[in-house]
Amino acid sequence: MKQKYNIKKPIGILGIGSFGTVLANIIAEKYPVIMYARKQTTVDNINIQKSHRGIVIHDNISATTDIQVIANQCDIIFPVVPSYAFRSVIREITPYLTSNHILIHGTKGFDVKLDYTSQSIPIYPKDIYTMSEVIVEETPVYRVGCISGPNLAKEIAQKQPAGTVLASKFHEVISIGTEVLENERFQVYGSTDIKGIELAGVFKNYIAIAAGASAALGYGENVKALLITKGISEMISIGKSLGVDPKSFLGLAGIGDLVATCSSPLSRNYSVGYRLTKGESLLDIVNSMTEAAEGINTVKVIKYLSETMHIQAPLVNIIYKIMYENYSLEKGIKLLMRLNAGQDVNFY
Amino acid sequence: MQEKLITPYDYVQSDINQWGISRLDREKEQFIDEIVVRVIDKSRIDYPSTKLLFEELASTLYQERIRVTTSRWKSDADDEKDFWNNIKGQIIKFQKAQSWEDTDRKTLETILKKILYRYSYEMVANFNPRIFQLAQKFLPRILFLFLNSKFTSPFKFFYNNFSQFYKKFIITGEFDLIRNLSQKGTLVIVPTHFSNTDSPVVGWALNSLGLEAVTYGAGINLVGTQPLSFMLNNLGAYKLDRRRKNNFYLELLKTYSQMAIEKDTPSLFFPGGTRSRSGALEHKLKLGLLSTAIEAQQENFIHNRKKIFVVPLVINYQYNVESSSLVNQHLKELGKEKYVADNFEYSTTYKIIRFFKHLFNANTEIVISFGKPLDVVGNIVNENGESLTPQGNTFDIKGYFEFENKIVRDEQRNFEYTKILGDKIVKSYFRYNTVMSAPLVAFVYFQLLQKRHKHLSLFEIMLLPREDRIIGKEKAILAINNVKEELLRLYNENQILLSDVVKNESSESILKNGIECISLFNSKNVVYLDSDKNLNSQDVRLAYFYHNRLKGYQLEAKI
Repeated sequence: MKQKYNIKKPIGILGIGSFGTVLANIIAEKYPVIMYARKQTTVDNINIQKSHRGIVIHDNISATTDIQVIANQCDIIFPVVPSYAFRSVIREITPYLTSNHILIHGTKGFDVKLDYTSQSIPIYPKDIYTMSEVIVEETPVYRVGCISGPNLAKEIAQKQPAGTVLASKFHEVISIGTEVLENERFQVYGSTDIKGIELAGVFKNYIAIAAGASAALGYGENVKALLITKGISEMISIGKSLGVDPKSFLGLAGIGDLVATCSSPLSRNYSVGYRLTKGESLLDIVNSMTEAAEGINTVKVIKYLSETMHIQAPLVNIIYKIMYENYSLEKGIKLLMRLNAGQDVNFY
Repeated sequence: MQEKLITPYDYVQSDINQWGISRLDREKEQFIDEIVVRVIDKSRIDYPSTKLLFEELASTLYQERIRVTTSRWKSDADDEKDFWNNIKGQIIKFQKAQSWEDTDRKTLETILKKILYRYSYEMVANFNPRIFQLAQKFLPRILFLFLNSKFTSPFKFFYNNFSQFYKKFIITGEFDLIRNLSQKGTLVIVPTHFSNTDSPVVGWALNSLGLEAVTYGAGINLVGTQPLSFMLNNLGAYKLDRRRKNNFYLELLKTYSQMAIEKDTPSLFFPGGTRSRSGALEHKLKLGLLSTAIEAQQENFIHNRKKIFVVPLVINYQYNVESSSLVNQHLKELGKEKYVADNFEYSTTYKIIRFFKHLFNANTEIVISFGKPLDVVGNIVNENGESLTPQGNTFDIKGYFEFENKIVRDEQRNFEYTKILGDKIVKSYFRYNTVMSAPLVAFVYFQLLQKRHKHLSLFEIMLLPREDRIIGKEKAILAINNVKEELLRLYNENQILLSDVVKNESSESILKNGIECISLFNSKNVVYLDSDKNLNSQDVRLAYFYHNRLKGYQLEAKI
């Protein structure tokens, strides 16, 4: 028996990136939305100019610089902030959160409490937090969910159809979240394997970097297909070490998202790989981007994790070399070809 | 802060007739009626069509008829067979029904009701205040007098009673907080489970704190057959038949437990389910009965009734009456064909008496530690019973059951909360576990043995000949030193508790005390010093069993 939820309160969005903005637009077709922004100018853009990041803002959306307003007025809140800022934003809102709240995030990244950016260190599964784990650790909120899938913001902004996965251990959160998000152009699939869905969204980022690099070299579909398929296989073996069921990697948030990001110049991670191969430095690329490419940090975390846990992960090693050791993809692919390929499907 | 009990408290509620369990006993009939109504209501959700209801009834009948013929117990009622034959007669006519009438559902529900009433009357707890008072007054004294050879005169005991007693029977915890909460809400006690002696030990501990008697599930075979069954049957135990696994019975059992809590009857479950076979602290709990605390809290919120507080309890012994049979079962399950079981050691009333005799006569004790009380989703609560967030702010947990300020009943959601609660209880077990000398010595001995035979599997180690089981005494003392250093660190960071011997004495004395205590009950020396003053074991399985108690703290790295 499916429970029907009558949603009366507005929906909160934390984060004013392009995905947060298109998400707000989707929801605003059915419910009033309040967005939180740190800067008054952004709030003015949303409230007065009704335009942000080149996206027209729905009339049902308002913005505020006061995070308490979001917590007080909204029971359902979508945090959509880059992973490096995720914990601090959650800490900002925590004093106002209670047991009533439901948080559904849309961030495809990790939170690692160790300093891994300046040096190579051992990373164990216990050091890695997914965004939902950050929420549960920092707040009194238990009802947590995430959305993940092939959802390129620019395509959704153009009102093209798309599907996504809403994952939560709680059927209640899936039902409520679906009620909030679903419309005739946006389809929502449910999953109770939240960690699997979160990891699928994180892992695909570094494979997208490789796909971008491959496109820059003029490689065609054969290499891309090789990267996608072997990428999935690598994602599964790393995922297993973090205790998730590989099933979720085979769905919309896994293969689906991988196919989309590995094919699209619209993807940030893809363009990182592309521009690197075209000769730009990583620093220049990062500085020129207006929004974070999550894959850049993911590569380091996964490389150190796979080394610590003795997992074979040739792709992540090659991408790491391309990003930080001036390796060319050509050389990387050669390395990949020299490896003992072994069994094709070996993850079951 | 954990404090030690020195003298027993007076009862928080001095009128025994006002206790939840007394009330439940007085209103037994009404209580059963309410349970049956609720289970029938639930069956309308679980089996919406008449056909489904019929199929479930038929399956219940099928299982019960098999049980009646293949597994009979002394505790079974004489008319069991007749009852189920009668039910069969009533159900059989529906066998070939193609279409179902409304009246059919009613008839089937009447049959279900009959079954439920039979189950309920068999299950329901009895509580006789007089028998309780009698047991509470005399049983420990009689035991004490008979078993304690140091007390030669009965008069001496009556004048000098409790201070001696609580040196052997160490209770620690935040007593005022727990007593306070018992007035503000309903307590659900969740102890670790290692031994058949746990039930009387917990009962006595709660009584010492002046708390009301609790209701708890006991195997019907135990209540029906043991010499003390008459007492058990009148002290608030509800009776479980673990042969019955049909859905109606399980639903009835959960409803029973839930409604007892709703009616403000303090309850007790062993969330590990059965005794820990491996000797390790429970790390995976059975969530079925635990979930009834959460469902009860949801109903209490709807009807503005009391808050429920979950109190974890860790019981530590230096020796375990049933260790041999427990570890045998554990190893059999773990090793399958790799493990050849040795002879079993069965637990009897005689052994329980011997257990207490050792407790009072040897240099050993029982430590019972109450953990911090939790709300039903595992948050710590303050002295007013308010829940605290991880950051230490008070908040209302009612919201967890609500959507937009209205309570929504949702079993799946509540089951997820049960998992969260289970995890918090496990954490509490590790936090309030008390390290005693015997398990520490077993831990060090077994770890050193494993290190010495790195290439051997667990099961091969069990079969080592005597000369290969030797561990040098100096080596053992050094290892105790190292482990103790780590334990003190954990203790100072509030991650574990230590017994006085472990905390204050030298490694040599810990070794001596541990060796003395660990073999008290077992016919073989679990760990002993041989003629060359080396450590050895006559039964490595038992050393392994006691050693497991300290697993999960990463102490292995210190050896």
